[in-house]
Amino acid sequence: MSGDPRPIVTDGLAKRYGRVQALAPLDLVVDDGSVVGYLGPNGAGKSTTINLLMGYINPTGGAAWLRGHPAGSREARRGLSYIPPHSAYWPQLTGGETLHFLARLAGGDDPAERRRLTAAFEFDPGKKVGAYSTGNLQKLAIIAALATRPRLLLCDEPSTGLDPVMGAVFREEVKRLRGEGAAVLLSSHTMEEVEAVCDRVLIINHGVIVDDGTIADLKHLRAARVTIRFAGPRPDLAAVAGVTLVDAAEDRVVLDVAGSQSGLFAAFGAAAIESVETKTPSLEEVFLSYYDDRVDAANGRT
Amino acid sequence: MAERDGAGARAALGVAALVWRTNLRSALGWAGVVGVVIVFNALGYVRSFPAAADRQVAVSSMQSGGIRLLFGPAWHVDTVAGFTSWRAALLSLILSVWAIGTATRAYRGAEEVGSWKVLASGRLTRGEVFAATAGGLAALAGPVWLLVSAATALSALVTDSLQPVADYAFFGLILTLPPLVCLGLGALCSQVMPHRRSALGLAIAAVAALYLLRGVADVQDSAWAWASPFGWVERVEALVAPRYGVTALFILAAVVLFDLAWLGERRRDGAAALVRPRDERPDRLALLGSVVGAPLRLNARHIIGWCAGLSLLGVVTALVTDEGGRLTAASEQLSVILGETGEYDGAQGYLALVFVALGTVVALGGAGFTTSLLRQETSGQSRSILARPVRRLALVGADALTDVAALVVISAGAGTGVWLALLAQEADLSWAAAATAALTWLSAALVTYALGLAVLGWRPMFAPGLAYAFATCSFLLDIIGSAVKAPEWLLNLSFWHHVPDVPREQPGWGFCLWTGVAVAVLAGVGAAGYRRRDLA
Repeated sequence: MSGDPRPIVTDGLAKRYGRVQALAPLDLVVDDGSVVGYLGPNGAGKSTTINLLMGYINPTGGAAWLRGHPAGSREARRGLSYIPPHSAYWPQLTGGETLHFLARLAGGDDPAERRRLTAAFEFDPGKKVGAYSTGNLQKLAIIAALATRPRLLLCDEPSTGLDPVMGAVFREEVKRLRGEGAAVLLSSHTMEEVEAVCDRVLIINHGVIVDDGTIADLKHLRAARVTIRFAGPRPDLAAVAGVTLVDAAEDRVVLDVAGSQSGLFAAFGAAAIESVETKTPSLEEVFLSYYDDRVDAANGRT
Repeated sequence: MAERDGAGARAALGVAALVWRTNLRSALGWAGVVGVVIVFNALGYVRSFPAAADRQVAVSSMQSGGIRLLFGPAWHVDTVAGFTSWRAALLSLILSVWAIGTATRAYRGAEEVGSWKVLASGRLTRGEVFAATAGGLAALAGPVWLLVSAATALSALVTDSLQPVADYAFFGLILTLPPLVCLGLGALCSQVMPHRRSALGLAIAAVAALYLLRGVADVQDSAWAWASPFGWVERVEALVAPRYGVTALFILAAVVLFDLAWLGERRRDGAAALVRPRDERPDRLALLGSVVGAPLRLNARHIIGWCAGLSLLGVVTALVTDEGGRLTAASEQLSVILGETGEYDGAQGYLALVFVALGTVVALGGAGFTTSLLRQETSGQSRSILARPVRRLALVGADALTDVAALVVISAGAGTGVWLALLAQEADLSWAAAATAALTWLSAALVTYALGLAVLGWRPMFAPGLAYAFATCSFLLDIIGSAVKAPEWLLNLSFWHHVPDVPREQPGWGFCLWTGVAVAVLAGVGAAGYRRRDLA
């Protein structure tokens, strides 16, 4: 809300293009010192949200405030940095000139920080922008965004084109920023990246937030896969609440267990158990579980 | 093996067809423009010089050095066919400019965007893709030839001066062959230079040098004219006394240029060039401290290039003021366009037409600036700036300020070019008068640009098209409408019709005021829209 000092506050923020609801009313709060992952398939509404927060497009419903200022206003963009998925700069300028120009527009940067980032990302600022590869252009965007020491960072697929080593450097920089008390909204398809740096994850589908929680919460809510080997007769476990039978053999069952596993263990009774193996789902599996129908369709299953 | 060869041939044919189809529309567009010019030239000729006596005046007026420099020697301009044939060098120059643009886009442009990798990743090698592209480009000569030949035949039909159809087919061929040579030139420059823009620049310089060589040789009646394809075009005398053997020279030149390009292509890596780009340099931070200075820094070369080009055009067109003045006074058609009924100063009338032409080119430049604004937005460059605490109006305002300053400089450059040419001829036109005339026509460019801004604010994708359409239609409506004595209400729809007839008339305060108000209102409408709308 207006005057609310939190980095991001949205109240029913929505965007509609004709008959297409690109973003359903979104209520979102991002606090200082947190990194929020924003996940969803292509066209889910992630970039629309970020474009609305940046003021590049206007909402058709609700509103957004950045540190109490309406999104898109000049005040809202003070202390804000943005890393787009594909950067567009001026091919006739060098990387150094571009960094200087963008820093001046932002009110100045920290030269020592710029040098440190340039070294950390192994970036050569002496080349013309037109000669940079995709990865180097993305490094340029990241350095330009981070060199101003932002208090709020919005990232839309920031590691596009970066090699794994540079991806790790970027993750370290995001953690460093969080350590300094800044807030980060990170839209990404790289689950490893989200899992490594995010405190909280939002999952969006068809313009609607379908889940919101810490990574541990999300994993806990999803079924864990439990494989049990029996040394003797196998008890009937399919009737246990929260348990779904996936596969069964004479001495072995594979189950999906949602929520607490205490009921399952109670149902073992006196059965002789040789081994129990529990596999917690990865964030990617959690993410994919929201789009089972699409995954099935892609695999040709019904 | 035979099956593989067959598949390779089909793939090569597919690439050639793709190149042909991708560029067909522009080929037909440019050939159509040349066709229209041929028809209007012929119509203008018979209307301006209807009788044999009038044509003798034309013949005597067209023998000066300036005329020969621009158009070539006027050997047979006492007939429609001779007059049409005389313009062949200039018309082939127009098609040659299209050809080098097309060739550099097909070769260097494809390497810049990476599409060549897709084509060369299947059955075809890089060399085969090069050859297939050359085939597709060369095949574009077919529709160009057909259209130009048909337009030439039409020009003869409407002027009642028909010759055998084969003559028009040969004239069409002669106009098509220099562009074929220039396709080879564009292909060669694409191997030499690392970027499409620099390849195009080199090719344009080469074409300009060849045209100038022809001009200088024509002025001196020198055999050096045979060193330029544009000289060959003149010496073929296609519609008057055709020399069919000269066509071999064009074909030989095209083959040699394509062969040299092919050799160059083999000597370099994919996406590289024979000239290595200068990709590294020390930082130069001047003007990169704000949104106001940056557009000037980023567009300075562009503005200087436009200014130099328009100054040169001003010099070239004003160099023949004496001859142009005599022709204008003798031409009934031009008198009607200028609104003259009795005796009048032909030189002043000719200069008025020169400023109309220069003003229209500057206005088209204004439309081009709206294209640049749109490109800046769609490419994402605007977003890079607007991610910082910069107001949208500050961004577009700074760009508009630079564009307007550029239009002023370009107009002043054009006026100065005219003044310099007149100074060399000891004609009576002060620099202030020339500058005033050019700045009066700046109003047309400003209105065009402001209209582009207004549309950009609300429907950005339509902005360049509407701005170009406004300038082109206003010009055509004024010139053609005046020529055919269209009703005044129709002529009034053209902004061009309201611009004072400089240098014969001076702009009044009323004109300056209402033009200023129109520009301000249009810019305001655009700003209001741009401030609120979604970025493209």
